[in-house]
Amino acid sequence: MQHNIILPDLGQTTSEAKIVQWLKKPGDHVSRGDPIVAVETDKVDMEVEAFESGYLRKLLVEEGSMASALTPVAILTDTPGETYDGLGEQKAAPPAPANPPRVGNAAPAARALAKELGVELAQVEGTGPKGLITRADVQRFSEAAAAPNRTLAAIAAMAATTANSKRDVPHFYATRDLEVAAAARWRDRWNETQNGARASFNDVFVRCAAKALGDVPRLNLAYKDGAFEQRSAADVLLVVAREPALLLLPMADSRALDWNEFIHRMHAGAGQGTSAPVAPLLAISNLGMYGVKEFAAIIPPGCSSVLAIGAVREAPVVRNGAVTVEKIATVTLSADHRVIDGIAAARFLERMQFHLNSL
Amino acid sequence: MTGITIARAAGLSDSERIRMFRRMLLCRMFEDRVYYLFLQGRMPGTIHQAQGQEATAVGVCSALQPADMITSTHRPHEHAVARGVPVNSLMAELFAKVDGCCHGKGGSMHVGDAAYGMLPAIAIVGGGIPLAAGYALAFKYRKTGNIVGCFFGDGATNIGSFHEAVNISAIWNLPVVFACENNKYGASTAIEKVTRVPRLSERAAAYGIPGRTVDGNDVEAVYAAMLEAGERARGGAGPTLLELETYRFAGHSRSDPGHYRSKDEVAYWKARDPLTRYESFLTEEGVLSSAEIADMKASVEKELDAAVAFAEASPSPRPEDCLNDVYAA
Repeated sequence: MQHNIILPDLGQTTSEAKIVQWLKKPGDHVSRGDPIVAVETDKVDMEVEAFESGYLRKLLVEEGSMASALTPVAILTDTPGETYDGLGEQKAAPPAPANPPRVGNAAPAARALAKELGVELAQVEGTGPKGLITRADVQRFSEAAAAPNRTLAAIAAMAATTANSKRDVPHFYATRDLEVAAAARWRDRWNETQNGARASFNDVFVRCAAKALGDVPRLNLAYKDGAFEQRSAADVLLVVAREPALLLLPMADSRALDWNEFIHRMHAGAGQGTSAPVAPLLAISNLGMYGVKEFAAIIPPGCSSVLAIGAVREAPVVRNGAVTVEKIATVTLSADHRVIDGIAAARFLERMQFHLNSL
Repeated sequence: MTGITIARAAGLSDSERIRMFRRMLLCRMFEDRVYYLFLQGRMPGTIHQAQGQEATAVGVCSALQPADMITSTHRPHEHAVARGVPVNSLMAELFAKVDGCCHGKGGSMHVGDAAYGMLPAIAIVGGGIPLAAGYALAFKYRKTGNIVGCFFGDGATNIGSFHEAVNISAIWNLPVVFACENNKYGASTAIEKVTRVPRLSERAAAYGIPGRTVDGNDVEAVYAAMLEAGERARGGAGPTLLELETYRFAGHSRSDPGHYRSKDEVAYWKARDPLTRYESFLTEEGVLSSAEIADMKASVEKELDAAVAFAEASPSPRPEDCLNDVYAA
């Protein structure tokens, strides 16, 4: 009978632990209560004991890797020879390969690299002369094998930061329709008359948000562990959609730049070329280009608020008892109520409207 | 034989000795089972286990009458087993199921059932001691002739509630026995690092009551001391402070590997394991044979299998029952 050894939930602040050392190797007999693996959490090092006697057949997590609580880390069976379910990992001892390993067909440099990267040459497709495995083949294979892990790691990081933020930070939300007719006119004129970089609505919103941040110091107040810190630089954090997970690009105070410099900075990826320490408290996320009308964002770690920008659209607006069609964009500021209150949020959105009108 | 003998308690029959041994075995095997369930990821939550302290739990509880009461701590499983709370309802409580002794709302640190003479455990260190005094006052007021056995750890003797509760019990001659399980550590803090008196029983002098230090890994020594202190309390002469010297083999909780204790120290106490000590005594006395003990272990194993099956089959509490059993009528 198969027994999956799981990583116990050690009741610490994280649900992950590092597999430090396997104390038994596959094939070893273990008795109930024997320590099998040494693990390390953020608070404690300890040994996990076997809850059943049997033969250790397979280790599912390598030393030095992280494992999640309550997931299997090793397989134990009652008898040394019985078959078992490898739990979707690479099956232990694959049946005798139809093609004998082609280890002889690898270039020496490829062999060295394979050893360094821990790549099994038998699994690598050779693209050189007569199917020779080249260094590039090994490199490609290793990256392809690592890619899904990188994707998962990025998603796991996002999972942790968003969950922590939503749990620990008291979010509140202020939504406003911004009139963007003046900004649209300015942008069209800029793009027609300038030979330099073209301005997008996103550029316009980020610039106006940075200016509004400068106008409302309360939004530039940091809170950490009960201490407050007032900042003066209008740094912002751009939340950029990238696969597999969001990219966060800090952008230093841009208020002193002229429009050309500003747009270049935006297009260069914000953080590029700045040496000043950047500690933004206002994050900006824009889904307008994907047609999203409005949304509320989760405050990234270290920030005090996040501005979520919806699509620029034409909508009926009632003014003085008459309905007109105007260009608007709906924005929502998610703010940390430990430092920012509703009035400050409202003032910030009001100042954004002011700067959009003043372009 | 560990080289450590048992101080034979007067008046215990063989069948009483066998009953005490089986209770100790059930305590230990219950705790071990819970530990393996935890390792398998089947047991939710963290747990504070008492392996190594079976003689204090069983020694104290065996000297009580059915209508007496005990109070317990954050490490209550063995107290409950020793007091006779059914293992099915204990296991179900640890699984947070409705058939648990607190209907699944208490969990590991609050097991207990007043119907079996155990108030649901109070996890706050020292929190159960004033309750014991209060219950003893009720017994005295109603002239029931019953007593309270109050379990707490060495760390609790430095808590204000200990002082207040022992003092008021002393001045009112309340029928309570304060059973301090001195397992040497309050979580990871060694008792001698935070306490000047070498024996915690000396603290009794401050309240004008008798204090005794007892080998807490000798079930018959604990039983005899508890019986004597209990009779004193029943007779209206007031409380006694018993210091029961013992040791927990596991860490403070499941996430504590106990690295603050040396391997030599743990080995010293394992050689004084109250269970193997009593087992050796009973086989040498001819009270139980090895075969009978093996049978007993198999039957306890079966009892625990049944308890786990019972607990896992029991439903979870319903959200609409959330406020039931929470407020006193």
